[in-house]
Amino acid sequence: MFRGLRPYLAIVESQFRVIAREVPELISIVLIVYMFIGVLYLGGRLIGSGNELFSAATGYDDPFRYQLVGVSIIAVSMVVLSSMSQFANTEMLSGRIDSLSLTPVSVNIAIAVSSIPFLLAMLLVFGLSISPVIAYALSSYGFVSVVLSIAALVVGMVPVFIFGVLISMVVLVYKAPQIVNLVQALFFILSGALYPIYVLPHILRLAAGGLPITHVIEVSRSLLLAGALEDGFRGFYTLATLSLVYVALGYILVRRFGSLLRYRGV
Amino acid sequence: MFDLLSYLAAEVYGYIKSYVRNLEFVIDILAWPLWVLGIVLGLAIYNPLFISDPGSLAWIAWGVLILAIVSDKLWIVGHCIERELRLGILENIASSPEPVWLHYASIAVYSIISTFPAMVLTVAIIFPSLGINALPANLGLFTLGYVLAELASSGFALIYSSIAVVVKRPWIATNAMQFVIPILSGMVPYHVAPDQLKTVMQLNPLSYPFEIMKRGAIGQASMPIGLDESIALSILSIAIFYAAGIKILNRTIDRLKRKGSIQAQ
Repeated sequence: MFRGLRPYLAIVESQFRVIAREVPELISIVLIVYMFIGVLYLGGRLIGSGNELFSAATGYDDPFRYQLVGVSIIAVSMVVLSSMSQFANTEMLSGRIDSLSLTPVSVNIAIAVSSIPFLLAMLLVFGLSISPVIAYALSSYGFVSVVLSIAALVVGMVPVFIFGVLISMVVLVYKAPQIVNLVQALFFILSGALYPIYVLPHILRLAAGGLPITHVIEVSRSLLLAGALEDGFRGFYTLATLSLVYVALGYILVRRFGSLLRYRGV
Repeated sequence: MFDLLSYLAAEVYGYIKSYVRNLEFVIDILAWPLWVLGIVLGLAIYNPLFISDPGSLAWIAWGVLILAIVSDKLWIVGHCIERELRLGILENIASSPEPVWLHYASIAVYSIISTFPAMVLTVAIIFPSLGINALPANLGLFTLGYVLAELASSGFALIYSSIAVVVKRPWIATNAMQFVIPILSGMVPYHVAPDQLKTVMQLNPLSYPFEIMKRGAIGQASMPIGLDESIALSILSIAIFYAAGIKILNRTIDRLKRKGSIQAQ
């Protein structure tokens, strides 16, 4: 049984080696998150008029923490998406994907597995970037809020993985690695990482509601910044349901793309 | 002179032929407006009244365009030597009879061409969706300001390209600069900036072309400086940026040749 897992473990191991070489890059992601939030905070402070209006619009009184939670979560999802599509692209360019498709290894699982080390590294980055908020939540609302928000992040990452597999397949079928940039931009604006989604134009608001990452951010904010366990649990169930829908849809699409990939070749 | 111009035209044509037909170009154009929308709303939420006030939101939106333009220049022009070194084609470029600075000047020109459609799309689609008038208040002045701003930021990025090639992880520095430089160049309107930032903006040559651009777009001045002075300072700063950029670039390429590190990494 475990013999079947060996090729995937080898992929995980090689990806861990890649990550081990990129520790400064991972640390710099934390710095970039803070720099981005810092610029927004500085700009926002200069054009803003105190926290009252912000609080009335968002329900939270600290804009820095509010945007830090959103940007940290979106940064994790962006790295997962780009690492998966990058893996697919590198394997395609080096010609290894053809060899991989001739082995008993599933290309889809290989792509998903390739991002596990990145996800673990990103959880570490997430922990570092969001540490002031976690410290605040632990001292104000206790351990349960933090654990539940991490659980929401893990559940919310399942659809991100599915997106990642689908994008990787688009990369392989249409030879278009840049498509991930567009998806990242869509995630960024639709997720409500920086603002509540009701400020978006109507049509984008509808799309945002159907995106699991939006709910991950909402749940995390209500748990970490307000300690609202009841809202957190309710949001968690919505997120879990949405994730299941994405898993089902993703399964159908991955099968379709898989047969297209086999038919067209890489 | 004619030779230089024909080299430049050939280089720009080559870039357009290779990149404009590329899917990457289309995706960049489509992604640009989305990032701008996200950042505009991310700033405006600090004062939610602005979201329903197109006049105030216009200051933020045109300010965020500064970030988008500067970021584009830093990545396209600022990473040009580093990218070609990484791809292993720098040695061929440096060995060709064409002056090497002309090759990089053509990248700066190409970057202006590549940013333009993304900016038009942003202004035409995103601005009206936020209730902002997409048509600049003074189209002539706006166009002048935009061209000067593009030239100034690409000249600045040309200087940066020589730094990016020697720094170990240039993308970290670029990420930092793409947020810091716009703040110092008028992303936040001068009239709401604190005194220290106002001083920096006055000293920063990039502020003036962006001020002209915003003045043309919104129809109001933000910095207390006459239009003629702004134009003169902008042209002077562009000349200095390009002269310094080309000088440093030639030295950098010579240094890379001497050290033998011009080959593919």
